[in-house]
Amino acid sequence: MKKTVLLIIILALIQCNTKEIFDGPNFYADGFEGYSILEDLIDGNNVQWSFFQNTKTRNFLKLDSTIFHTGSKSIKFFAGKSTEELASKASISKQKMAFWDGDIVEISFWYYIVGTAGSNWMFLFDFEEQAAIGAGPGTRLALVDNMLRIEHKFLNPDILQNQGPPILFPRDQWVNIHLEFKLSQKKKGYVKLWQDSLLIIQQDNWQTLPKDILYVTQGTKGMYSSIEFGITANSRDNETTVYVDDIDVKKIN
Amino acid sequence: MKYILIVAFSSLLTFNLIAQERSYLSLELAGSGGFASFNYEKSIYNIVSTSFYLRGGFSLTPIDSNNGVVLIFPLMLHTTTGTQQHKFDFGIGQSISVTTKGSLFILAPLSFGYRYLPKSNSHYWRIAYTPIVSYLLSFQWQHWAGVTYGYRL
Repeated sequence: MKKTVLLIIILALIQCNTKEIFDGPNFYADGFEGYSILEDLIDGNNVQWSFFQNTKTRNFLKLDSTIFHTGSKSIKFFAGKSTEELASKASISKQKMAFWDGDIVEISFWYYIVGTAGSNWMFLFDFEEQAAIGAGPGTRLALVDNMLRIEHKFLNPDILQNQGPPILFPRDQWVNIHLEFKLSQKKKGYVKLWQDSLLIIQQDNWQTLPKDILYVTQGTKGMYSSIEFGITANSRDNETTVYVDDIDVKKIN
Repeated sequence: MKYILIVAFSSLLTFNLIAQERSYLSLELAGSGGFASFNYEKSIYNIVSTSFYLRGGFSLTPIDSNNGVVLIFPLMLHTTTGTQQHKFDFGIGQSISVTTKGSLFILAPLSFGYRYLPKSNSHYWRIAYTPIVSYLLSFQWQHWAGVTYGYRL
């Protein structure tokens, strides 16, 4: 009986303190100027970036000083084609952040995609939660038919560009991507996406945070805790080279 | 709601086995185990037209290569009340999930349903609204339902 009471108390305390237990920074900015070598990006304490991901042996990322948006450095990512069995990734990720239900989050970054080869379903940015069980549910930015769209790793349809002439993603030049989310587990959020200052996606009354899905996704908390940039999953069409610079993520309300 | 679940869970853990009369093997499509579950159910207490059952089940669901397969063990206390053939069936419990990659989580399945027992008493059918409640890190109520066939052992 004592053990049961103790268990109940522990469970109650955990729920009361979810925001304290999973607290973290709600801002991060990096222009990659202060690093000498790539390994400097990872400090091991999640104060800077948390880890790199290269899921194929040929994939790589490196500090680059030949193509940059501002300053003198950017990060260059290269990824081979994805296959049915393996998502080809070359990315950097920062975890242990905390963006909660009700927060308005502004995310700005610059991408330079090399060449004009097709890259259907290449993912450029992931905004995710580390659920107790589940495949990192969240929201991603995808390139399909050379147009940006918002894709969700939970039960929500993709958000395509607003009505009007399609706005293609320019290649071989720097492009500013600016996202704004109002986070909500209900249909009380919104998503806005600007490409080079042109509003190309606006979706109001939208669920922007994942919820538990039966036993497939368990332990969502009404938050996002990680950001991931680079080639977060490459297309199956072609190998891809991307440069990323001037990342700025912050809660604004 | 959180405290109701906690008290009910506490009752489930500390329930005294008073009588053992009937046991069933059951298959539930959808319902408390997710997409489908096999269950063993045993009556533990009867008073007039009300019966209490303990139920232990097993189900599994593949997720992806990073998470593997989630093994689900719903443990529930059911109570039925009504006439001999037509009963209201209420269940509450805990579902322990363990993935083949070592992750663990607990959810609280509930069940509000109708149980039909034919006069032969050899089996039963149950149709139920079976919400799955997440309460540990945030409170979420997922609508779900299930159909059960139980065979008396």
